[in-house]
Formats: sequence, C-alpha cells, structure tokens
Amino acid sequence: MTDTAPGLPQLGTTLFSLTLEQRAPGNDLAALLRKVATRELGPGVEMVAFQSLRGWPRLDDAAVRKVRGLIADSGLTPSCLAINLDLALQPGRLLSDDEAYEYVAVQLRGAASLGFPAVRVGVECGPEIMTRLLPLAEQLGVKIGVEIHAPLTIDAPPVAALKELFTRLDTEWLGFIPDFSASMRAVPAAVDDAHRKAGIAPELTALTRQLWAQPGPTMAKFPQLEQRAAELGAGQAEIGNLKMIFTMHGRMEPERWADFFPHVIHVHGKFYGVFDGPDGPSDPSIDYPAIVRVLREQGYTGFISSEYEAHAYTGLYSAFDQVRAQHDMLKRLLEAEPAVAR
Amino acid sequence: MLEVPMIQTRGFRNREPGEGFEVRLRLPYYRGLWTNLIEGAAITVDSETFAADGIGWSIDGVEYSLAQLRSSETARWPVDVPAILRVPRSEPLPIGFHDVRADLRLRMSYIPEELQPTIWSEQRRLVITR
Repeated sequence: MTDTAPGLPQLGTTLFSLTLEQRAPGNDLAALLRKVATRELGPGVEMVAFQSLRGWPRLDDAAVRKVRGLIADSGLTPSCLAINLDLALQPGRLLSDDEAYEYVAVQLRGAASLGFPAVRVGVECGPEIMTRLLPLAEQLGVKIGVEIHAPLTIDAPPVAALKELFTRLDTEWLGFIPDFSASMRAVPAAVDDAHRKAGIAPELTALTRQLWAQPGPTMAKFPQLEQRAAELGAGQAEIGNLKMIFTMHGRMEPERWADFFPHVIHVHGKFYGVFDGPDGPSDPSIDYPAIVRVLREQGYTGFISSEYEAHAYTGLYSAFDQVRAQHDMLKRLLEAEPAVAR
Repeated sequence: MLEVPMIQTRGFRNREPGEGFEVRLRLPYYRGLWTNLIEGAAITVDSETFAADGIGWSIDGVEYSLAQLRSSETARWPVDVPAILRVPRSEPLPIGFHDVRADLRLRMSYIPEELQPTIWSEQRRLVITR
C-alpha cells in the first residue's frame, strides 16, 4: 500500500483507472482487486458500480456477500462507490424528482450493504434530491459526494447552489468530491494521438487547444468551436470529439479548491499520465504541487482516488504503472515540508 | 472471448439466404447502458452503408428492433456482452475480406443536450468465410 503519514490525505485507486485492463480476458472484479492489492495501489479502493458490479443496482444477497468477500480478501479499504443518476434516461424528458430520488436511493442502500462509507454522484443530483437523500444517508452511514469534474468549477451555478446548501445544512453526510480534471494547466498530449488516429486534422485539434487556453468560461466557448471547426470542414462526429477537450479538461485555478472546504468528503485524482522528465517524474497537464498544497492547508485526511483516464485516448501505457507513478509523486509531495505560501 | 475494440472479428457471418449478415459490437462505453439510450448503429461494409433503422439487435439472447431497444425501460447492454447486429441485405456478402465500419450513436444520460449524441466510429477488416 502507498501509506502516507498520519494527518495527511490517504491514497487509493479507482478501478475505473483499469477500464482497458478490464476489457482484457480474465480481468474480472476478483482479478482486478487482487492486482491492485498486489501492486500496492491501495489502501483505498473505489469502483464505478455500474461498471464493476454485474446486475447493479439490484444485487442479491449472494452477490453482496461475494463482493464484500473479494474486497476483504484483497486487504483494500473501500473508500467510495461511484453511482449514477441517469437523469436523461428517458427520451425527451428528465426523470421526475421522485424517480430521481428512488434511482439514487436504491444505489445508496446498495453501497451501504457493500460496506462503502461514501458514494459519488454527479452534479445532476442537485440540491432538491440531495436534501431528500440526507436522512437516508445519515441512517445508512454513507456520505454522498457530488463530483466536481471538468467543465464544472466552484462558480458554476449548480455547484454554487450545492455549496449554499452544504453551508446551510452543515452536515457531514453531504459534500463535494473535487476532481483534478477541474483544474488542468494543459490539454494532455494523449489527446493529439487519439485525434490523429481518429483522422481528425491537426489544425482542428490545434484550434481547439487554442480556444481552450483562452480565458473565459468553458461553456461559452462551445458555439465558437462549432462554428470555426465547421469552417475548417469538420463534420458532426469530429466536432463532438473536439468538444470533449472542453468537457474533460477544466481550467479552474487550483487555489480555488479551498472554497470546496470544509465540505470535501473524497477526492478524485484524475490524471492522464505521469512522465519522467529532467527534474524527475511530473505531469504536464496537472499542477500537483498547487493542489496538494491546498489539501494540506485544509487538513484533508480523506482519500485521493487515483483515476487514470488516458485510456480514453491511448492504450500505450499500463494503468497499473501510471497509478504507481502518480502515487509515488503524490506521496513525495504530501510528505514534503510545507510549501511557502505564495 | 471478447476482443477489446468495439467491432468484434468473431461472429461476422452471412445469415440464411436473403436474411443478410451479422456483425457483433462490444459496447465502447465503460459502464454498460440502458438500451433506451441507444440511438442506433449504422454499418458500412466496403462502400455500402446500411442505415441504423433497418438493423435488428440481439443482446444476451433477446432480440430487439431498434424501436424496441429504445422503448425498453429495463433492458441493459452490459459492457462484457457483445450485441449481435442483424443487417438486412438481399445477397450474402462475398467470401473474403471486407472493411467494416460501425457508427454507433448513444445518448449519454448525464451530458447536456447540446453535446448529444456521442458517436463511436470504428473500422476494422473482417473476413467472411462462408
């Protein structure tokens, strides 16, 4: 396990990092848990329920016993279960509040039965549903965290509304799960490889990178991208791919992570690759020292789940090796002397 | 055994005379999908494109038209179960290699409407042996 010193954030892995590995023969849940444990990529383990648990959200008692047994045998500590509110499940309408509540509640009960202390939901699980879920969360002893993933920021209206709610309720059972993807300093190089393979012209990727780097809210850039990419001859599918650069890589200043506190219940360490450089391993797209500084200053002692996602762009790297490299870097930064405030 | 890419090389075959052919797709989305979020898949073999509307589906032994897939409230396409697509064609495909392309359109249940649908496109060279 990558143990960190007491009083610091703890490290862990979400099995989502292993999405490509999961597609290889033989890598069932038991095998993936065993490999994470053998490679000492705990102590925390997170998984996406719909991805890792066949039959979710309705597991029978035997399935629950089996999953609990697999986690116990691995020696890993369940940190968080990622669940989903599929709000746009029905064509042409969104789920009603009653339907949304039920859709999440059954998963919250499932998480409790599996022994997870927290669940992750998306921002579509808004203040109304969160408020209704609070008594159940308290009763089950399972915290509910809203993931703040790119392109969301602390200032985005749905996030600001949640912040207001959490402040008002002042409860330990509801909170945020900020994700490194919200605060990136560059678009990962792997994107270029993926676009090249998909036959997307380099000038289209360059245009999107250029718009990405400009100041201003991401959501406002979509129409501009559509228009300028279409002028360069991009089709619908290509524009869809280009838009993903905006939705997956946020530009919120890392220092703003302080505003998520004291309502942070878990952290997602999304990343796209740690590489050896002249000054040792580093990640060109994420400013780890800046984020780690905030987590330390806020006294955060929960988990950081390493979430390797370059598998969406490239199969060149082993997710196991990448999580190892990220853990080593995080541990080094977390345990370094406190940085001088800027 | 499933292959990692969306288009599976196994299972690409002609059906009975007059019934067209089959190709198997693995869901490229990572966490399985309620089938009513599938907008359809267009298949192109060499330069001949077959529209999504006319293609029948089979998932986990259950057969669906595209309309049935889209109206089901309970059917799922698990990440480790390939869908068999039945593509109508009056003549069987010639024996030999074919460039097969799939354009799979999915609605993501949590992504803003203006970003829908998500389209997964892939091309592989497959072989018809009989």
